Amino acid sequence: MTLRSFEPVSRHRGIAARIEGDNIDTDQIVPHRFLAAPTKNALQGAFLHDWRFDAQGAKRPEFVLNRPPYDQASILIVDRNFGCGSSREHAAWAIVAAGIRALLGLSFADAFRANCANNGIACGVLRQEDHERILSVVGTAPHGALSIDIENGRCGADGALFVPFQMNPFQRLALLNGQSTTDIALEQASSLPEFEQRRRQQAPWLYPQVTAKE
Amino acid sequence: MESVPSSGEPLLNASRHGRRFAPDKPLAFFDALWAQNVVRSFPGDVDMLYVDRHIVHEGSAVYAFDELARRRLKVARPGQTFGVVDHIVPTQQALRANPSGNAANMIGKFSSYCRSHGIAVAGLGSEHQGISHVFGHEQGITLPGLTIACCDSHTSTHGALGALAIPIGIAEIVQVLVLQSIIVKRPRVLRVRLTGRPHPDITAKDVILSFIGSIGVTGAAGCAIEFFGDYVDRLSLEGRLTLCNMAKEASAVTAVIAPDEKVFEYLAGRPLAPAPELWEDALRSWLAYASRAKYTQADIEFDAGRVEPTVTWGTTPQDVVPISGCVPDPSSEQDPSRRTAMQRALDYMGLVAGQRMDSVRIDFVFIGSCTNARIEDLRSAAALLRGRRIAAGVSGIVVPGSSQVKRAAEAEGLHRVFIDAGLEWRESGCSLCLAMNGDEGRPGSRIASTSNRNFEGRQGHNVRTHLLSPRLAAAAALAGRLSDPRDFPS
Repeated sequence: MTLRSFEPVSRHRGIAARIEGDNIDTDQIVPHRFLAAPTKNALQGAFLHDWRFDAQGAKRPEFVLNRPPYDQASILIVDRNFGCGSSREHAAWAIVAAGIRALLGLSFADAFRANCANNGIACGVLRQEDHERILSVVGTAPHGALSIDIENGRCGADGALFVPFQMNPFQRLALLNGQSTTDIALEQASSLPEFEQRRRQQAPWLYPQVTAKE
Repeated sequence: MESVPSSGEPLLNASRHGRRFAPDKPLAFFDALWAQNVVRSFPGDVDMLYVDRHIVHEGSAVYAFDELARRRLKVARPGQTFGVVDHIVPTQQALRANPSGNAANMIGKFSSYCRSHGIAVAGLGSEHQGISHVFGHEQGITLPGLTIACCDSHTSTHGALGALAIPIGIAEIVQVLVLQSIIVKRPRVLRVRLTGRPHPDITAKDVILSFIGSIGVTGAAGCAIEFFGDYVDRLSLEGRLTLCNMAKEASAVTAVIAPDEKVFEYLAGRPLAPAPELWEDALRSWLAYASRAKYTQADIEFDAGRVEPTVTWGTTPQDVVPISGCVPDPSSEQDPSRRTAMQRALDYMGLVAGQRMDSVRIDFVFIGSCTNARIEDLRSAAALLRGRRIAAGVSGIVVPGSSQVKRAAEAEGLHRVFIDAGLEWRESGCSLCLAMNGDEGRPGSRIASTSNRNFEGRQGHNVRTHLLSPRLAAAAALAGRLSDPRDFPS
């Protein structure tokens, strides 16, 4: 039985919104006051909260995600090093809660990208010229709609999927299978006992308590 | 180049130890550490590593324990799992004795889960309680040559003891708890040689800030930084911890420094260090690791001897400048997107291009965090503050990195120096670094902070953060503005 954490993800079509700026850190993506959320499903409204809402809680009308059709966006086009800073997985949860299914950008912080993959969100890396192409496609497509083919690593407006994006092959397959790395690891459980035995012989000083408990 | 299975093919057909290293490049210390811990390899440079020891804290583990309960899974190796509370713990004694709200919920739930799984916890009242990345080395949990995982990006700190330190996400905590292993992409090694002998007032914090300024916030992306060189050799263990801690701010996955006598002496007798009868065996193994790290070449050479006291002016850790310098001018920046980012940072920080850094007035000082709140950091700040009062209009808190550091500082009378100077002496926790526990800057205030991130809003609404060393934090508190500590002989 294949363990799954989310629905397998292979294709998606939705409205794409651009979030401009390099080095958008996870303190922006999910401010610290959301870090005590009781569950990962309690992050509605958290995504880029202080960019979307002012100090009184009113929507900032000029922010892209508050303007139609981008208030329905399920794909984000970002720039460099998106998701840098703190590795808080709440950032991925906030993105899920905001209805975002995929991000395309020039680069992503490693921990952020891994957290997204473990929550069923694809992060695809675009080359500079393809990033520009996608932005122009989104500008002219009806309602800024974009299609993403995760299996083949391509995106574009409806019929014309001509812009490639890169994903780590492992993360791509995990998404296609609907698996987090924990699901995959649980399937690999049989490799561990032999390794542990060798390790304990190599470094017995690491496991003083273990022998008593096992 | 490794072949990638086609879509739909299960990932189970992974090769064992399928890792091939470039034959012409000698194995780096980090690569050797990594290779010995691979349980299984996957395509895309991804390996499953065994996790020797795992530190869990209340800020993240509760979600993982909830997931464990949902899936009806058990903790496989409670004896290899160490719990501590740090992220949301109050630092004020009264609140700590009686936590409420989110703090009470998270700490209570975390402690309860750990108890039910048989995981030892250094809780709120424990003499071992501290920030994860201080607690780890203090207790001898972190040792050379082992793999240590923790759900926090500054897990890289533990690499200063020659450990393979792996930062993990919350979903991954489940994996480590259930399987004592982690699936992770193997980073490339970036060998960084630090040389030279800076002025005594210039610390590891200045050096690493300056280094990040030179390579940029993505300069070590996808890499494990291996620090070495005569500067590192001369540096104390605490200084090395600061280097490895801040490596994360250049996007390094982790950092490591080959262990030496300073590490071995530090660890002798610590609670979870090797027992006396196993000490010689452990030492032999550690010396073998150390001997692997003799390099003639580095990927990056950095002269620590030329570093000045350094502060950040902007909203990323790469926005650094010597204290004797000025706020940079965005219009002299070639790259248009960098120019826009710089201007945005200046607007947020309320600074003007060309303004002298030592003219920047500050409201508040935070001496704390896993970067700089160990005993040497507190001594460094206290040496400047001794017999002096902080400037009018300035307030601040000193938050020791652990309860053990707090006791050691009190035994030396450092707390009296801070209190007499006008600063508050607090209990240990992450506190104002990420401002999750109620310690927060007043909106619009300007904080001289010994922590590791100066992002917009991190320390509070519209709070302006300047990262610097404990020495500079003390100088700023005395002067009421960012200052060169050499202007205040200790």
